[in-house]
Amino acid sequence: MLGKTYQKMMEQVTPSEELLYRTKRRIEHQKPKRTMKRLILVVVTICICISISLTVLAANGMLFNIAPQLAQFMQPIELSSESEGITMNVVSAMNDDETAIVYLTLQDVEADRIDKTVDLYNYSIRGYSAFTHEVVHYDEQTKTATIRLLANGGEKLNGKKVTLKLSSFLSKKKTYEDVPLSIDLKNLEDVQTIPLDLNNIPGGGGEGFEALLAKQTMPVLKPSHQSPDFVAISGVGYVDGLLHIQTDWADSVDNHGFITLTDANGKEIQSYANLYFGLDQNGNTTYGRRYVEHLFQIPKENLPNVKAKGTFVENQNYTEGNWQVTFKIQAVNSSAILKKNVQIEGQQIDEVKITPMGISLSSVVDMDGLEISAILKDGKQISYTHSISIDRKQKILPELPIDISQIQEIRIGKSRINLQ
Amino acid sequence: MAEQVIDEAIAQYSNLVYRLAFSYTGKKSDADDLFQEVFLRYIRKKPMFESEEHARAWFIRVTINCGKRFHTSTWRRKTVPLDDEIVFEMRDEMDLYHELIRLPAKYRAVIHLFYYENLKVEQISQIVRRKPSTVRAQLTRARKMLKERLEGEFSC
Repeated sequence: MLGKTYQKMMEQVTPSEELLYRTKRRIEHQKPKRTMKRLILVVVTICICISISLTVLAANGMLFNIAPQLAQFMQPIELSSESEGITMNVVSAMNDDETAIVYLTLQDVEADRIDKTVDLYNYSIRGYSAFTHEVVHYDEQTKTATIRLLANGGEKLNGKKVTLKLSSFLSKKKTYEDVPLSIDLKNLEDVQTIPLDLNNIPGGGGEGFEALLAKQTMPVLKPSHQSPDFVAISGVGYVDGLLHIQTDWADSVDNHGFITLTDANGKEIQSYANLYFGLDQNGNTTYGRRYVEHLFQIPKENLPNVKAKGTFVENQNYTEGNWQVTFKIQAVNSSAILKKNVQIEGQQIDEVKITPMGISLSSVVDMDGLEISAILKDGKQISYTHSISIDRKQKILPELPIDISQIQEIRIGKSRINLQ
Repeated sequence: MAEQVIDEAIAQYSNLVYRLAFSYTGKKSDADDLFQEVFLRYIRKKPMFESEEHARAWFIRVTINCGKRFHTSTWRRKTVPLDDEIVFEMRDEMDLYHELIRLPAKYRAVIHLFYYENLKVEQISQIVRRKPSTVRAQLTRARKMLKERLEGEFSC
Protein backbone atom coordinates (compact mmCIF):
# COMPACT_ATOMS: atom_id res chain seq x y z
CA MET A 1 0.00 0.00 0.00
CA LEU A 2 2.78 2.41 0.92
CA GLY A 3 4.61 1.48 -2.28
CA LYS A 4 1.56 2.11 -4.49
CA THR A 5 0.74 5.45 -2.89
CA TYR A 6 4.38 6.49 -3.06
CA GLN A 7 4.56 5.59 -6.75
CA LYS A 8 1.37 7.48 -7.58
CA MET A 9 2.64 10.46 -5.63
CA MET A 10 6.02 10.50 -7.33
CA GLU A 11 4.53 10.17 -10.82
CA GLN A 12 3.23 13.70 -10.26
CA VAL A 13 6.71 15.07 -9.59
CA THR A 14 8.41 16.21 -12.79
CA PRO A 15 10.98 18.85 -13.63
CA SER A 16 9.39 21.98 -15.08
CA GLU A 17 10.07 23.17 -18.60
CA GLU A 18 11.74 26.23 -17.14
CA LEU A 19 14.12 24.06 -15.10
CA LEU A 20 15.02 21.96 -18.15
CA TYR A 21 15.68 25.11 -20.12
CA ARG A 22 17.78 26.66 -17.35
CA THR A 23 19.78 23.45 -16.98
CA LYS A 24 20.55 23.31 -20.68
CA ARG A 25 21.61 26.91 -20.64
CA ARG A 26 23.94 26.37 -17.70
CA ILE A 27 25.39 23.35 -19.46
CA GLU A 28 26.11 25.49 -22.49
CA HIS A 29 28.14 27.79 -20.22
CA GLN A 30 30.20 24.88 -18.99
CA LYS A 31 30.98 23.38 -22.35
CA PRO A 32 34.41 24.21 -23.75
CA LYS A 33 34.20 26.87 -26.38
CA ARG A 34 35.50 26.43 -29.90
CA THR A 35 39.16 27.26 -30.33
CA MET A 36 39.49 30.90 -31.18
CA LYS A 37 42.19 32.74 -33.01
CA ARG A 38 45.11 33.44 -30.80
CA LEU A 39 44.49 36.71 -29.13
CA ILE A 40 47.06 39.12 -27.97
CA LEU A 41 46.42 39.46 -24.29
CA VAL A 42 46.36 43.02 -23.18
CA VAL A 43 46.85 43.48 -19.50
CA VAL A 44 45.58 46.84 -18.55
CA THR A 45 47.80 47.88 -15.72
CA ILE A 46 46.51 51.29 -14.77
CA CYS A 47 43.15 52.82 -15.42
CA ILE A 48 43.76 55.58 -17.86
CA CYS A 49 40.51 57.33 -17.85
CA ILE A 50 39.53 59.63 -15.01
CA SER A 51 35.87 58.88 -15.38
CA ILE A 52 36.60 55.15 -15.03
CA SER A 53 38.63 55.81 -11.89
CA LEU A 54 35.73 57.76 -10.47
CA THR A 55 33.43 54.87 -11.22
CA VAL A 56 35.79 52.50 -9.47
CA LEU A 57 35.99 54.71 -6.42
CA ALA A 58 32.23 55.03 -6.38
CA ALA A 59 31.87 51.27 -6.68
CA ASN A 60 34.29 50.68 -3.83
CA GLY A 61 32.45 53.19 -1.69
CA MET A 62 29.16 51.59 -2.55
CA LEU A 63 30.47 48.16 -1.60
CA PHE A 64 31.67 49.36 1.76
CA ASN A 65 28.34 51.04 2.36
CA ILE A 66 26.59 47.73 1.70
CA ALA A 67 28.88 45.86 4.06
CA PRO A 68 31.44 47.93 6.01
CA GLN A 69 33.32 44.81 7.16
CA LEU A 70 34.25 44.12 3.54
CA ALA A 71 36.90 46.88 3.72
CA GLN A 72 39.29 44.78 5.75
CA PHE A 73 39.08 41.83 3.35
CA MET A 74 38.89 43.44 -0.05
CA GLN A 75 41.92 43.66 -2.23
CA PRO A 76 41.54 46.69 -4.51
CA ILE A 77 42.14 45.67 -8.11
CA GLU A 78 40.90 48.60 -10.18
CA LEU A 79 41.76 47.25 -13.59
CA SER A 80 39.57 47.70 -16.59
CA SER A 81 39.00 46.48 -20.10
CA GLU A 82 36.95 48.19 -22.79
CA SER A 83 35.26 46.66 -25.77
CA GLU A 84 32.23 47.70 -27.84
CA GLY A 85 31.93 50.91 -25.85
CA ILE A 86 31.44 49.05 -22.61
CA THR A 87 33.92 49.08 -19.78
CA MET A 88 34.38 46.20 -17.42
CA ASN A 89 36.14 47.13 -14.22
CA VAL A 90 37.38 44.55 -11.78
CA VAL A 91 36.92 46.63 -8.67
CA SER A 92 38.14 44.38 -5.93
CA ALA A 93 38.43 40.79 -4.90
CA MET A 94 38.82 38.63 -1.87
CA ASN A 95 40.01 35.11 -1.84
CA ASP A 96 41.63 32.21 -0.12
CA ASP A 97 43.20 29.19 -1.73
CA GLU A 98 40.07 27.73 -3.37
CA THR A 99 37.49 30.47 -3.52
CA ALA A 100 37.35 33.99 -4.89
CA ILE A 101 34.69 36.65 -4.71
CA VAL A 102 35.19 39.32 -7.32
CA TYR A 103 33.27 42.58 -7.54
CA LEU A 104 33.17 44.00 -11.03
CA THR A 105 31.29 46.78 -12.73
CA LEU A 106 29.96 47.05 -16.24
CA GLN A 107 29.40 50.53 -17.59
CA ASP A 108 28.06 51.47 -21.00
CA VAL A 109 29.74 54.70 -22.07
CA GLU A 110 28.19 54.78 -25.55
CA ALA A 111 24.65 53.47 -25.37
CA ASP A 112 22.13 52.01 -22.97
CA ARG A 113 22.89 48.30 -22.94
CA ILE A 114 23.53 47.87 -19.21
CA ASP A 115 20.66 47.71 -16.78
CA LYS A 116 19.83 45.95 -13.54
CA THR A 117 18.85 42.73 -15.34
CA VAL A 118 22.32 42.28 -16.84
CA ASP A 119 23.23 38.60 -16.91
CA LEU A 120 26.76 37.40 -17.71
CA TYR A 121 26.37 34.82 -20.47
CA ASN A 122 29.79 33.58 -21.54
CA TYR A 123 32.47 34.20 -18.92
CA SER A 124 35.19 32.47 -16.98
CA ILE A 125 37.99 32.98 -14.51
CA ARG A 126 40.89 30.85 -15.57
CA GLY A 127 41.76 28.40 -12.84
CA TYR A 128 38.28 28.13 -11.34
CA SER A 129 35.58 25.70 -12.29
CA ALA A 130 32.28 26.78 -10.74
CA PHE A 131 30.65 30.17 -10.85
CA THR A 132 27.62 32.07 -9.78
CA HIS A 133 26.93 35.77 -9.95
CA GLU A 134 24.35 38.39 -9.08
CA VAL A 135 23.84 42.09 -9.66
CA VAL A 136 24.21 43.79 -6.29
CA HIS A 137 23.79 47.39 -7.34
CA TYR A 138 22.76 49.45 -10.33
CA ASP A 139 23.47 53.13 -10.71
CA GLU A 140 20.91 54.73 -13.02
CA GLN A 141 22.92 57.91 -13.51
CA THR A 142 26.18 56.33 -14.61
CA LYS A 143 24.46 53.22 -16.12
CA THR A 144 26.77 51.05 -14.12
CA ALA A 145 25.92 47.61 -12.80
CA THR A 146 27.98 46.17 -9.96
CA ILE A 147 28.17 42.40 -9.99
CA ARG A 148 29.36 40.01 -7.33
CA LEU A 149 30.90 36.89 -8.79
CA LEU A 150 31.68 33.83 -6.72
CA ALA A 151 34.22 31.42 -8.18
CA ASN A 152 35.11 28.07 -6.67
CA GLY A 153 37.37 25.19 -7.33
CA GLY A 154 40.69 27.08 -7.51
CA GLU A 155 43.76 25.21 -6.38
CA LYS A 156 46.35 27.20 -4.45
CA LEU A 157 45.76 30.31 -6.55
CA ASN A 158 46.50 32.77 -3.78
CA GLY A 159 49.29 35.10 -4.94
CA LYS A 160 48.94 34.04 -8.57
CA LYS A 161 47.60 35.80 -11.63
CA VAL A 162 44.16 34.91 -12.88
CA THR A 163 42.24 36.17 -15.90
CA LEU A 164 38.59 37.14 -15.79
CA LYS A 165 37.20 36.92 -19.29
CA LEU A 166 33.76 38.03 -20.42
CA SER A 167 32.66 37.38 -24.01
CA SER A 168 28.97 38.16 -23.89
CA PHE A 169 26.12 39.22 -21.67
CA LEU A 170 22.37 39.60 -21.81
CA SER A 171 20.42 42.59 -20.62
CA LYS A 172 17.06 44.34 -20.77
CA LYS A 173 15.44 41.14 -19.59
CA LYS A 174 11.68 41.18 -19.29
CA THR A 175 9.67 38.34 -17.82
CA TYR A 176 6.00 38.00 -18.63
CA GLU A 177 4.58 35.59 -16.09
CA ASP A 178 1.40 33.56 -16.36
CA VAL A 179 0.10 35.41 -19.39
CA PRO A 180 -3.36 34.06 -20.30
CA LEU A 181 -3.28 32.89 -23.91
CA SER A 182 -6.26 33.84 -26.01
CA ILE A 183 -6.72 30.38 -27.44
CA ASP A 184 -10.17 28.95 -27.88
CA LEU A 185 -9.67 25.33 -26.84
CA LYS A 186 -13.44 24.66 -26.95
CA ASN A 187 -13.72 24.97 -30.71
CA LEU A 188 -10.51 23.68 -32.21
CA GLU A 189 -10.64 23.53 -35.95
CA ASP A 190 -8.98 20.91 -38.10
CA VAL A 191 -5.39 21.82 -38.64
CA GLN A 192 -2.81 21.20 -41.31
CA THR A 193 0.25 19.29 -40.19
CA ILE A 194 3.71 18.72 -41.62
CA PRO A 195 6.07 15.86 -40.76
CA LEU A 196 8.97 16.48 -38.39
CA ASP A 197 12.06 14.30 -38.63
CA LEU A 198 12.86 13.67 -34.97
CA ASN A 199 16.43 12.71 -35.87
CA ASN A 200 17.03 16.23 -37.11
CA ILE A 201 16.02 18.49 -34.25
CA PRO A 202 18.29 20.36 -31.84
CA GLY A 203 16.43 19.10 -28.81
CA GLY A 204 13.34 19.16 -26.73
CA GLY A 205 12.26 18.11 -23.30
CA GLY A 206 9.55 16.82 -21.07
CA GLU A 207 8.51 13.49 -19.70
CA GLY A 208 7.45 12.15 -23.09
CA PHE A 209 10.38 13.42 -25.13
CA GLU A 210 12.25 10.13 -25.15
CA ALA A 211 9.16 8.17 -26.15
CA LEU A 212 8.49 10.56 -29.01
CA LEU A 213 12.07 10.29 -30.30
CA ALA A 214 11.54 6.57 -30.75
CA LYS A 215 8.85 7.35 -33.35
CA GLN A 216 11.48 8.82 -35.72
CA THR A 217 8.90 11.18 -37.27
CA MET A 218 5.73 12.82 -36.05
CA PRO A 219 3.32 15.45 -37.29
CA VAL A 220 3.64 19.02 -36.08
CA LEU A 221 1.37 21.92 -36.88
CA LYS A 222 2.04 23.82 -40.06
CA PRO A 223 3.07 27.22 -38.68
CA SER A 224 0.83 30.09 -39.58
CA HIS A 225 2.68 32.99 -41.14
CA GLN A 226 4.17 35.05 -38.35
CA SER A 227 6.83 37.70 -37.98
CA PRO A 228 6.91 38.03 -34.24
CA ASP A 229 8.82 40.80 -32.52
CA PHE A 230 9.35 38.41 -29.66
CA VAL A 231 7.03 35.40 -29.56
CA ALA A 232 3.71 34.44 -31.10
CA ILE A 233 1.37 31.47 -31.04
CA SER A 234 1.73 30.06 -34.53
CA GLY A 235 -0.67 27.16 -34.25
CA VAL A 236 -3.07 25.23 -32.02
CA GLY A 237 -4.58 21.86 -32.80
CA TYR A 238 -5.41 18.39 -31.57
CA VAL A 239 -3.44 15.70 -33.39
CA ASP A 240 -3.21 11.97 -32.61
CA GLY A 241 -4.38 12.31 -29.02
CA LEU A 242 -2.15 15.25 -28.17
CA LEU A 243 -2.93 18.93 -27.85
CA HIS A 244 -0.34 20.89 -29.83
CA ILE A 245 0.37 24.52 -29.04
CA GLN A 246 3.11 25.99 -31.19
CA THR A 247 5.20 29.05 -30.42
CA ASP A 248 7.15 31.05 -32.99
CA TRP A 249 10.21 32.85 -31.62
CA ALA A 250 12.02 35.74 -33.16
CA ASP A 251 15.70 35.11 -33.69
CA SER A 252 17.42 35.61 -30.34
CA VAL A 253 20.05 34.13 -28.07
CA ASP A 254 18.06 33.41 -25.00
CA ASN A 255 14.41 34.29 -25.36
CA HIS A 256 12.43 31.41 -24.03
CA GLY A 257 9.21 30.40 -22.37
CA PHE A 258 6.89 27.62 -21.46
CA ILE A 259 3.18 26.97 -21.59
CA THR A 260 1.01 25.30 -19.00
CA LEU A 261 -2.65 24.40 -18.88
CA THR A 262 -4.90 24.96 -15.88
CA ASP A 263 -7.92 22.75 -15.28
CA ALA A 264 -11.23 23.78 -13.73
CA ASN A 265 -9.87 23.09 -10.21
CA GLY A 266 -6.88 25.33 -10.77
CA LYS A 267 -4.48 22.41 -11.07
CA GLU A 268 -1.64 22.96 -13.48
CA ILE A 269 -0.96 20.50 -16.29
CA GLN A 270 2.63 20.57 -17.53
CA SER A 271 3.44 19.75 -21.11
CA TYR A 272 4.15 16.11 -21.94
CA ALA A 273 6.97 17.07 -24.28
CA ASN A 274 8.22 19.92 -26.38
CA LEU A 275 10.16 19.89 -29.60
CA TYR A 276 12.33 22.52 -31.24
CA PHE A 277 12.49 22.80 -34.99
CA GLY A 278 12.93 25.21 -37.86
CA LEU A 279 11.29 25.72 -41.22
CA ASP A 280 12.98 25.94 -44.62
CA GLN A 281 12.02 28.20 -47.51
CA ASN A 282 9.71 25.54 -48.93
CA GLY A 283 7.74 25.30 -45.71
CA ASN A 284 9.26 21.97 -44.67
CA THR A 285 10.55 21.33 -41.20
CA THR A 286 14.28 21.52 -40.71
CA TYR A 287 16.91 21.72 -37.96
CA GLY A 288 16.36 24.88 -35.94
CA ARG A 289 15.01 26.49 -32.81
CA ARG A 290 12.57 29.05 -34.16
CA TYR A 291 9.48 26.97 -33.43
CA VAL A 292 8.60 25.08 -30.27
CA GLU A 293 5.80 22.52 -30.37
CA HIS A 294 4.33 22.17 -26.86
CA LEU A 295 2.49 18.87 -26.50
CA PHE A 296 -0.06 18.02 -23.84
CA GLN A 297 -1.52 14.64 -22.98
CA ILE A 298 -5.12 15.58 -22.39
CA PRO A 299 -8.33 13.93 -23.63
CA LYS A 300 -10.09 16.04 -26.27
CA GLU A 301 -13.31 16.09 -24.26
CA ASN A 302 -11.49 17.82 -21.39
CA LEU A 303 -10.29 20.71 -23.54
CA PRO A 304 -13.32 22.96 -22.91
CA ASN A 305 -12.42 22.93 -19.20
CA VAL A 306 -8.81 24.02 -19.45
CA LYS A 307 -7.12 27.32 -20.02
CA ALA A 308 -3.65 27.93 -21.38
CA LYS A 309 -1.14 30.38 -19.99
CA GLY A 310 2.47 31.12 -20.76
CA THR A 311 5.54 32.51 -19.06
CA PHE A 312 7.92 34.19 -21.46
CA VAL A 313 11.34 35.69 -20.93
CA GLU A 314 12.65 38.24 -23.36
CA ASN A 315 16.25 39.38 -23.44
CA GLN A 316 16.16 42.50 -25.54
CA ASN A 317 19.93 42.83 -25.69
CA TYR A 318 22.66 40.30 -26.33
CA THR A 319 26.02 41.98 -26.40
CA GLU A 320 29.22 40.33 -27.48
CA GLY A 321 32.68 41.70 -26.93
CA ASN A 322 36.05 40.83 -25.54
CA TRP A 323 36.58 42.01 -22.03
CA GLN A 324 39.38 40.51 -20.04
CA VAL A 325 41.39 41.56 -17.06
CA THR A 326 44.34 39.73 -15.59
CA PHE A 327 45.04 40.42 -11.97
CA LYS A 328 46.97 38.97 -9.13
CA ILE A 329 44.67 37.31 -6.70
CA GLN A 330 46.02 38.01 -3.26
CA ALA A 331 44.16 37.64 -0.02
CA VAL A 332 44.26 40.79 2.11
CA ASN A 333 43.63 38.74 5.19
CA SER A 334 45.37 35.39 4.86
CA SER A 335 44.78 34.32 8.43
CA ALA A 336 43.81 30.70 8.81
CA ILE A 337 43.27 28.26 11.63
CA LEU A 338 44.06 24.64 10.98
CA LYS A 339 42.54 21.87 13.04
CA LYS A 340 43.51 18.24 12.61
CA ASN A 341 41.42 15.14 13.25
CA VAL A 342 38.15 16.88 14.01
CA GLN A 343 34.95 14.96 14.73
CA ILE A 344 31.97 16.40 12.89
CA GLU A 345 28.64 14.65 13.35
CA GLY A 346 30.37 11.39 14.17
CA GLN A 347 32.68 11.57 11.16
CA GLN A 348 36.41 12.12 11.55
CA ILE A 349 37.77 14.85 9.30
CA ASP A 350 41.55 14.83 8.85
CA GLU A 351 41.84 18.55 8.34
CA VAL A 352 39.58 21.53 8.90
CA LYS A 353 40.83 24.93 7.75
CA ILE A 354 39.02 28.07 8.82
CA THR A 355 39.66 31.27 6.88
CA PRO A 356 37.69 34.51 6.67
CA MET A 357 36.09 33.18 3.47
CA GLY A 358 34.85 29.96 4.98
CA ILE A 359 35.53 26.51 6.37
CA SER A 360 37.33 23.93 4.24
CA LEU A 361 36.97 20.25 5.09
CA SER A 362 39.34 17.63 3.74
CA SER A 363 36.42 15.29 3.15
CA VAL A 364 32.71 15.62 2.60
CA VAL A 365 30.26 15.55 5.48
CA ASP A 366 26.53 15.00 5.16
CA MET A 367 25.38 18.50 6.12
CA ASP A 368 21.75 17.80 5.37
CA GLY A 369 19.65 19.82 7.77
CA LEU A 370 22.59 20.89 9.92
CA GLU A 371 22.85 24.42 11.24
CA ILE A 372 26.33 25.81 10.69
CA SER A 373 27.42 29.00 12.40
CA ALA A 374 30.29 30.90 13.94
CA ILE A 375 29.90 32.18 17.50
CA LEU A 376 31.90 35.37 17.94
CA LYS A 377 33.56 36.50 21.16
CA ASP A 378 30.87 39.14 21.62
CA GLY A 379 28.20 36.42 21.47
CA LYS A 380 27.04 37.28 17.95
CA GLN A 381 26.15 34.31 15.76
CA ILE A 382 26.85 34.30 12.02
CA SER A 383 25.42 31.62 9.77
CA TYR A 384 27.23 29.86 6.97
CA THR A 385 24.90 29.83 4.01
CA HIS A 386 26.65 28.15 1.08
CA SER A 387 28.20 24.73 0.79
CA ILE A 388 30.17 23.60 -2.21
CA SER A 389 32.03 20.36 -2.67
CA ILE A 390 34.57 19.72 -5.35
CA ASP A 391 36.81 16.70 -5.68
CA ARG A 392 35.86 15.19 -2.32
CA LYS A 393 36.59 18.39 -0.45
CA GLN A 394 33.97 20.64 1.01
CA LYS A 395 33.81 24.37 1.50
CA ILE A 396 31.24 26.13 3.63
CA LEU A 397 30.89 29.85 3.15
CA PRO A 398 29.20 32.67 5.06
CA GLU A 399 27.40 35.44 3.19
CA LEU A 400 30.25 37.84 4.01
CA PRO A 401 33.77 37.08 5.26
CA ILE A 402 34.39 36.82 8.99
CA ASP A 403 37.39 38.07 10.99
CA ILE A 404 38.48 34.71 12.36
CA SER A 405 40.36 36.26 15.28
CA GLN A 406 36.91 37.14 16.61
CA ILE A 407 35.49 33.62 16.32
CA GLN A 408 35.14 31.72 19.57
CA GLU A 409 33.55 28.58 18.25
CA ILE A 410 32.29 26.95 15.08
CA ARG A 411 29.06 24.96 15.36
CA ILE A 412 28.19 22.31 12.82
CA GLY A 413 25.02 20.57 13.95
CA LYS A 414 25.82 19.26 17.42
CA SER A 415 29.58 19.38 16.84
CA ARG A 416 31.66 22.18 18.27
CA ILE A 417 35.09 23.38 17.11
CA ASN A 418 36.64 25.59 19.74
CA LEU A 419 38.99 28.16 18.24
CA GLN A 420 40.28 29.59 21.48
CA MET B 1 30.24 16.15 -25.33
CA ALA B 2 27.82 16.53 -28.25
CA GLU B 3 24.72 18.61 -27.71
CA GLN B 4 22.57 15.73 -28.89
CA VAL B 5 24.08 13.38 -26.28
CA ILE B 6 23.40 15.94 -23.55
CA ASP B 7 19.84 16.52 -24.72
CA GLU B 8 19.23 12.80 -24.81
CA ALA B 9 20.66 12.31 -21.33
CA ILE B 10 18.44 15.06 -19.96
CA ALA B 11 15.41 13.65 -21.74
CA GLN B 12 16.11 10.14 -20.54
CA TYR B 13 17.16 10.72 -16.95
CA SER B 14 15.46 13.98 -15.99
CA ASN B 15 12.54 12.31 -14.22
CA LEU B 16 14.80 9.80 -12.47
CA VAL B 17 17.08 12.55 -11.17
CA TYR B 18 14.35 15.04 -10.36
CA ARG B 19 12.16 12.61 -8.45
CA LEU B 20 15.09 11.37 -6.40
CA ALA B 21 16.23 14.95 -5.81
CA PHE B 22 12.74 15.90 -4.70
CA SER B 23 12.46 12.90 -2.43
CA TYR B 24 15.86 13.73 -0.95
CA THR B 25 15.31 17.45 -0.40
CA GLY B 26 11.53 17.53 0.01
CA LYS B 27 11.39 20.94 -1.66
CA LYS B 28 10.90 21.94 -5.27
CA SER B 29 13.41 24.78 -5.18
CA ASP B 30 16.10 22.57 -3.64
CA ALA B 31 15.30 19.76 -6.06
CA ASP B 32 15.70 22.25 -8.93
CA ASP B 33 19.17 23.22 -7.70
CA LEU B 34 20.21 19.64 -7.09
CA PHE B 35 18.92 18.62 -10.53
CA GLN B 36 21.09 21.21 -12.22
CA GLU B 37 24.12 20.22 -10.17
CA VAL B 38 23.77 16.58 -11.24
CA PHE B 39 23.65 17.40 -14.94
CA LEU B 40 26.53 19.88 -14.64
CA ARG B 41 28.52 17.10 -13.04
CA TYR B 42 27.56 14.84 -15.93
CA ILE B 43 29.06 17.37 -18.34
CA ARG B 44 32.22 17.79 -16.28
CA LYS B 45 32.85 14.08 -15.70
CA LYS B 46 31.76 12.87 -19.15
CA PRO B 47 31.11 9.34 -17.90
CA MET B 48 31.03 6.48 -20.40
CA PHE B 49 28.28 4.00 -19.63
CA GLU B 50 28.53 0.31 -20.36
CA SER B 51 24.80 -0.25 -20.13
CA GLU B 52 21.50 1.39 -19.33
CA GLU B 53 21.72 -0.08 -15.84
CA HIS B 54 25.17 1.45 -15.38
CA ALA B 55 23.88 4.86 -16.48
CA ARG B 56 20.90 4.72 -14.13
CA ALA B 57 23.13 3.70 -11.23
CA TRP B 58 25.52 6.56 -12.03
CA PHE B 59 22.73 9.17 -12.06
CA ILE B 60 21.25 7.79 -8.84
CA ARG B 61 24.58 7.73 -7.02
CA VAL B 62 25.56 11.23 -8.17
CA THR B 63 22.16 12.64 -7.19
CA ILE B 64 22.57 11.19 -3.71
CA ASN B 65 26.17 12.35 -3.40
CA CYS B 66 25.29 15.84 -4.55
CA GLY B 67 22.29 15.81 -2.21
CA LYS B 68 24.52 15.02 0.74
CA ARG B 69 26.79 17.91 -0.05
CA PHE B 70 24.12 20.29 -1.09
CA HIS B 71 22.93 23.34 0.68
CA THR B 72 21.05 25.89 -1.28
CA SER B 73 22.66 29.21 -1.81
CA THR B 74 20.91 32.18 -0.27
CA TRP B 75 21.97 34.11 -3.33
CA ARG B 76 19.78 31.92 -5.46
CA ARG B 77 16.98 31.96 -2.93
CA LYS B 78 16.79 35.71 -3.21
CA THR B 79 15.98 35.49 -6.88
CA VAL B 80 13.93 32.31 -7.08
CA PRO B 81 10.34 32.40 -5.86
CA LEU B 82 9.86 29.83 -3.16
CA ASP B 83 6.87 28.00 -4.55
CA ASP B 84 7.95 24.82 -2.84
CA GLU B 85 4.71 22.97 -2.38
CA ILE B 86 3.57 20.32 -4.78
CA VAL B 87 -0.15 19.79 -4.58
CA PHE B 88 -0.72 16.07 -4.96
CA GLU B 89 -4.00 14.82 -6.33
CA MET B 90 -5.11 12.60 -3.46
CA ARG B 91 -5.29 13.28 0.23
CA ASP B 92 -3.36 10.13 1.16
CA GLU B 93 -0.58 11.31 -1.15
CA MET B 94 -0.49 14.74 0.52
CA ASP B 95 -0.43 13.09 3.96
CA LEU B 96 2.35 10.77 2.93
CA TYR B 97 4.36 13.66 1.46
CA HIS B 98 4.03 15.71 4.65
CA GLU B 99 5.19 12.79 6.76
CA LEU B 100 8.02 11.89 4.40
CA ILE B 101 9.56 15.34 4.61
CA ARG B 102 9.77 14.90 8.39
CA LEU B 103 11.99 11.86 7.94
CA PRO B 104 15.79 12.25 7.72
CA ALA B 105 16.92 12.69 4.11
CA LYS B 106 18.91 9.47 4.11
CA TYR B 107 15.75 7.53 4.98
CA ARG B 108 13.81 9.28 2.25
CA ALA B 109 16.42 8.31 -0.32
CA VAL B 110 16.27 4.67 0.69
CA ILE B 111 12.46 4.70 0.62
CA HIS B 112 12.55 6.21 -2.85
CA LEU B 113 15.03 3.73 -4.26
CA PHE B 114 13.13 0.81 -2.78
CA TYR B 115 9.55 1.82 -3.52
CA TYR B 116 9.93 3.90 -6.65
CA GLU B 117 13.02 2.61 -8.42
CA ASN B 118 12.20 -0.93 -7.28
CA LEU B 119 15.80 -1.62 -6.31
CA LYS B 120 16.71 -4.47 -4.00
CA VAL B 121 18.39 -3.81 -0.68
CA GLU B 122 21.71 -5.11 -2.02
CA GLN B 123 21.53 -2.80 -5.03
CA ILE B 124 20.68 0.17 -2.82
CA SER B 125 23.55 -0.66 -0.50
CA GLN B 126 25.99 -0.59 -3.42
CA ILE B 127 24.67 2.73 -4.67
CA VAL B 128 24.53 4.53 -1.33
CA ARG B 129 27.66 2.73 -0.13
CA ARG B 130 26.17 1.54 3.09
CA LYS B 131 26.04 -2.01 4.39
CA PRO B 132 22.95 -4.00 3.35
CA SER B 133 22.14 -4.40 7.05
CA THR B 134 22.22 -0.59 7.45
CA VAL B 135 19.94 -0.07 4.46
CA ARG B 136 17.57 -2.76 5.77
CA ALA B 137 17.52 -1.11 9.20
CA GLN B 138 16.89 2.31 7.67
CA LEU B 139 14.01 0.97 5.61
CA THR B 140 12.51 -0.69 8.69
CA ARG B 141 12.89 2.46 10.78
CA ALA B 142 11.44 4.66 8.04
CA ARG B 143 8.42 2.38 7.57
CA LYS B 144 7.87 2.25 11.32
CA MET B 145 8.01 6.03 11.65
CA LEU B 146 5.61 6.48 8.74
CA LYS B 147 3.26 3.85 10.09
CA GLU B 148 3.14 5.47 13.51
CA ARG B 149 2.62 8.95 12.14
CA LEU B 150 0.02 7.93 9.60
CA GLU B 151 -1.77 5.86 12.24
CA GLY B 152 -1.82 2.63 10.32
CA GLU B 153 -3.02 4.16 7.07
CA PHE B 154 -0.53 2.01 5.20
CA SER B 155 0.37 -1.59 5.67
CA CYS B 156 4.04 -1.47 4.72
